[in-house]
Amino acid sequence: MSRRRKLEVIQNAEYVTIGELVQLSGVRYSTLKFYTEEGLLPFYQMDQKMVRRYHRTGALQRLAQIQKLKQEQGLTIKEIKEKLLEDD
Amino acid sequence: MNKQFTVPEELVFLGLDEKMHRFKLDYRSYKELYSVGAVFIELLLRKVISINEEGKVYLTQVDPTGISYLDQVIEVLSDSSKEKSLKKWISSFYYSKGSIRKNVHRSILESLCEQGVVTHKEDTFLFMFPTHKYEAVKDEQARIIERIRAELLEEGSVDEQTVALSFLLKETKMLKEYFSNYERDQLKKRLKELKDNESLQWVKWIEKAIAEINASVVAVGAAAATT
Repeated sequence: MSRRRKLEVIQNAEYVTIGELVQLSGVRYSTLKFYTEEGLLPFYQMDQKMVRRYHRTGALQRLAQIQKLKQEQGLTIKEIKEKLLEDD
Repeated sequence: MNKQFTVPEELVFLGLDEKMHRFKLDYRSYKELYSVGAVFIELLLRKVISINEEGKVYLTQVDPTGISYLDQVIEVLSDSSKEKSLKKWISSFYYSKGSIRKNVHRSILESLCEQGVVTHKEDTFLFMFPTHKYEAVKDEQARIIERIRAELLEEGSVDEQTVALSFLLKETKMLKEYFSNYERDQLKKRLKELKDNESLQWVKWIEKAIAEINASVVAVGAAAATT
């Protein structure tokens, strides 16, 4: 178990945990977990038992992109998944 | 690769209690009838059936879907010469089509077992009476709940299947099994907002269909209690 990092540290870190991403994005934990499981939010994991780490700027950009597609184009998560996986 | 379940599969799957390895208490008594109801909802979403202005269910296509439990209900509908409301259809599966009702429910469970998310164990009670235990893969159950949270507790568009499942969980009193009091209130509020949204007519007909299914289950339950 590692110590909780201060917000200033998280805001400048290259990689963040899911809990830290909740703090930075304001998106609920279960939603981030669901996006991750659906392959919408790429993560980095050294080993299967290790903590998943998200590239801070990349993850925040992806969340903003999802939010935009939801609000501006009125897409459902399923449709967003199809679109983003197609683009990737 | 994430699994894609149908509405009846998701309902039956979430109806399994992870500790007891049986069906959850509130849902247990009418699980088969709700399974049939969920099949009707799936057929509505797939546009295999439709409900006309008089509230009667009619088949829009008779081709088999290849999914056993859906095809069993399609067969019943195509063999019928009478048009019935959804409520009457659900009652008929209770009063006169008991074996089909059981088969439909069993087929859904078998499908979940085949997909590797439920395991079935046969046991005996008091060394004599056969019992069935079903164990659900917790992570897969959690993924469905996370989907509901991600869609209904966040801003944005919602998927037909998630809305239908949420209404079914509400009617089967299973929301309390997976969501906190606060989340439940938020979910119910969101479902009401969606239902009241004039531009989302499909939510209204899903809600109406599920309310009819529930009214039928309540009616057969009350009739069974008084006889």
